[in-house]
Amino acid sequence: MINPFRNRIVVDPWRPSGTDVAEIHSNAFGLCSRALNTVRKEGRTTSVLLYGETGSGKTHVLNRLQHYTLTLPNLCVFGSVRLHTSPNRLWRHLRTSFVESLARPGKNRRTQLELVFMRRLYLLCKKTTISFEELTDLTETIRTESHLSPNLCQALQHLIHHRHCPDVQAWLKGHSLPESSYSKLQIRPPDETDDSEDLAREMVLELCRLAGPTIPVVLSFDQIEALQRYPKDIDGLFRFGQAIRTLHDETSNLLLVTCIQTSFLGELRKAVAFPDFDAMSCHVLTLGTLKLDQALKVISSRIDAISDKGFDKNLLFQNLAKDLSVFVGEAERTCRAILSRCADIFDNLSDPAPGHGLPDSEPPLSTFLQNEMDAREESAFSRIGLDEMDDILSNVLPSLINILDERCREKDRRYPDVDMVIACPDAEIGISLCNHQNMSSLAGKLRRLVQNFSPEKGKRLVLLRHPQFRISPSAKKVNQYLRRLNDRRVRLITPSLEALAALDALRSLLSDARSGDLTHQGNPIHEKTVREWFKSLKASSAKAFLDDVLSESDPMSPEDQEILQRILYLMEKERVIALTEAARRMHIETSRLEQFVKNHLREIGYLEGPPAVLFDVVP
Amino acid sequence: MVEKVDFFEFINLLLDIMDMPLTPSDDLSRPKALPETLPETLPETLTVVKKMIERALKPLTADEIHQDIPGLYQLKKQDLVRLLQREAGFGTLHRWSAGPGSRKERFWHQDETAYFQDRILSALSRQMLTKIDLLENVKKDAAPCSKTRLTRIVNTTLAALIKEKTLFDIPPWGSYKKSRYAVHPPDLKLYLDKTRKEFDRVCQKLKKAGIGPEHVFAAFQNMLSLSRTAASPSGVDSRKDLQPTLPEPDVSETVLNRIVQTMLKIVPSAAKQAPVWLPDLRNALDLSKDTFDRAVLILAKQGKVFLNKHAHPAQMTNTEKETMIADSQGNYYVVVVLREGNRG
Repeated sequence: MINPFRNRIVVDPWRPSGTDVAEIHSNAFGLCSRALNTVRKEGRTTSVLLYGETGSGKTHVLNRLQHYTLTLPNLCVFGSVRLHTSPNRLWRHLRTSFVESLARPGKNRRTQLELVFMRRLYLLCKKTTISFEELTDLTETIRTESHLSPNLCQALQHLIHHRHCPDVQAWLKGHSLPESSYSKLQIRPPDETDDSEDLAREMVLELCRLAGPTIPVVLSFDQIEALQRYPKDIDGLFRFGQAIRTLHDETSNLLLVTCIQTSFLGELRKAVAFPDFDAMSCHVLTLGTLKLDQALKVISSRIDAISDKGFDKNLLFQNLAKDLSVFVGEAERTCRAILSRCADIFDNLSDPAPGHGLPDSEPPLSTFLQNEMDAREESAFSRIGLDEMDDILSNVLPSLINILDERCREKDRRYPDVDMVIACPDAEIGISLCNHQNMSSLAGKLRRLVQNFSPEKGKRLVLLRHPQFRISPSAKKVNQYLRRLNDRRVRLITPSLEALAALDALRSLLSDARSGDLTHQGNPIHEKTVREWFKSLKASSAKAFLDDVLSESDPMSPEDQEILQRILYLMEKERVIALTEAARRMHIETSRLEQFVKNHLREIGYLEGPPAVLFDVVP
Repeated sequence: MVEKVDFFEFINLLLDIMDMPLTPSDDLSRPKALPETLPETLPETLTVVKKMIERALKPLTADEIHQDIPGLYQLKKQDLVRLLQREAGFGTLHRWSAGPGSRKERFWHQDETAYFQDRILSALSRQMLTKIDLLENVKKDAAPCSKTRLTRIVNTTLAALIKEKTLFDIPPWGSYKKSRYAVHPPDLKLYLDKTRKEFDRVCQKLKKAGIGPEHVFAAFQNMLSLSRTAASPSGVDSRKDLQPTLPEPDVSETVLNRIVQTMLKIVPSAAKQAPVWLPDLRNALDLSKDTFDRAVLILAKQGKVFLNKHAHPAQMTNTEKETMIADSQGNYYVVVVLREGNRG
């Protein structure tokens, strides 16, 4: 039987409502619902700051609030943001998370964004059906009333008609789109000179304005602690405070709910400016620990949910209640600690180990971390999209490099085209993320890098691009600028998909550890433990990638670079091709091509012959 | 004589007034004479008065309040006095005795006795003082108070707090000829120093007669136990060794209440379960670490507050740990939260 107490961490507010004891944290939930009422009735943005120990149920309160918004008679939007991002990309992360939340189903299985737009349309025309011409006119009215951009209105009309939905979603999230998609959507691409953070902030505010005065928007922020790239880092928290104040001051329909660990209060207050803290904490509440009677209600609800009819639920309850009366006692415990205790007892009762008291049902810490890492890596491998690489790398690279050498820290960047600058004792490494699908944008970025970057002693520049974003030989400008950067010892690195999955897994492990959501045997694992564990790893794809980024090795020669680009392009078209045929098409000697391919087995698949065959590496 | 006007205070008052809702009664329809019985119908005036009192740096007489009330909210002086007295009866304001050289009672947002009690505890937590020094210390930079009144408050407060063991009477010793007051019990070593020297001298003398110190000590102990049954004013158990251990003083209700009141003072939203960072509360209170820690744990045990612990105490530095509260199970508490319905 599945242990009913094992699934004890509510990872995000979107989880289906399972066993819930309404009495627990009813004050926190009541405060949020009253604040939501204030937003609706008074037409002003307000905020709630929820404190609590790790495992006290902060995310659970958000989960309850999310379900509550679905039960309200009037439309209410719910958005959630887990802040496992880089301070430099805070608004972009907020934009992506908000759009992802809006794409989730609200009432009637329609997405929240569709519902908001349809509600606005309905309020204008009071009809349940409208013609195409009317839709255009009404959209124009909404645009004027709410100061929306023509691009957003265009995107909304596509959504209503269910046209080009993936592209519209990608555009709303701020992802790079190829030129063809922009023309298909009839949306103007962003200017090269526009700051991506400014664009993201404007989009978030626009989406809030779209909801208008009658539809309140709950925006919840969880895992604030993950904004710390390394111990005592306050930059992310400071910027988060500023972002909250912007949202507070420039909107009139938001309920901003922020959750943090109580032990983080000291650091939060040091990092966040006073006015920003005020904007974040219009209402403040601390979640308490559970008393014995509440603990018993929690376990009772879990036991009730056991579907096995032959199972003696009463006996289990009595066993647990007896133990909890001592365990909870005067000290009181968090919900997570109680469930963890019950899970261990349940395992012991199901499979009693002779001579032991409570079983050590979880493996040793290092094995536990490795298992977690493997599971998260596997999940990331199939889940992460092409456009997520920027967010993953921006968040995790500074942390991981700092783990390998504590003296290496991210510093303020001077040029917008260099996305990260890592200052190490021997060198300053600039990292530019080049995941543009739009070749004109990529060429623009590379051109500016050519103009602004000159090789200096102790300064290096690395370009990173997703392995599945290939550069066609016909992208002449791009190739031309890449060659020029190559001459200046600037390397283009494409991480393997395994490395990306590993980096994403590490990002979530570190974020969970910082936020107290990574527990082993009922106790939270500190970030330092994860850092030390990662440092002790002998080999991993993430470490190999980091070594590649940090190394001072020479970039590939322009000729090799060109061969690689051409062969990748060929493989993308042919998928499988004989070596001789590939050499013929590329006008290159077979032996040279074979040698080249053997040196680049990470990028190109090779099967020895006869006949030798090349194939596209698809994970 | 030209009266000085605090410009900023005036502006602040104006802003407060502008914030207030303009009900019809604020308008021209306001009756010129107030009714004889004192009104339930003067909420705006009362708000203005309360704000003035809240903002005042010292207690104000009814005259002082009356002359600063803006025209729109004015009322007769005797009505104001009655209003103030009524509010003081409700406990929303506090009456203060007349200031030095005056016969007019005053009003303030803090209770007179509690105010001086705080100052007494604060002064004594810094150093032990004689009564005269304590009076001087409490009076310095405090809200004005007549000498007679202040002496009476100090006397009664000292008596009450000594009784409940929040304060301690330190008898004269060495070159100090006067009793002092402190937040900790007297250090008995200071008083036993002479005795110790005498004991050593006796031991030295008897050594020649072949009597070792242990025999002298046993005899002395015997004498002490006899005399202890006769009278032991300090209640010190001296059987164990010559370094007496003091009984742990109980934490008084006054200290517990002070903690709750200080929580509300430094974090007004603490009443609604906002967390109070323990180092901040500790800094605001001037209590010894031991007393503060025990008092907070007692409040938690009584169910008046709850505590949140640090998730990773091992990651705190020793200095950080010192500012938090440890329990016997290795937990370090970082914040204290008032439970619902507890406001001290």
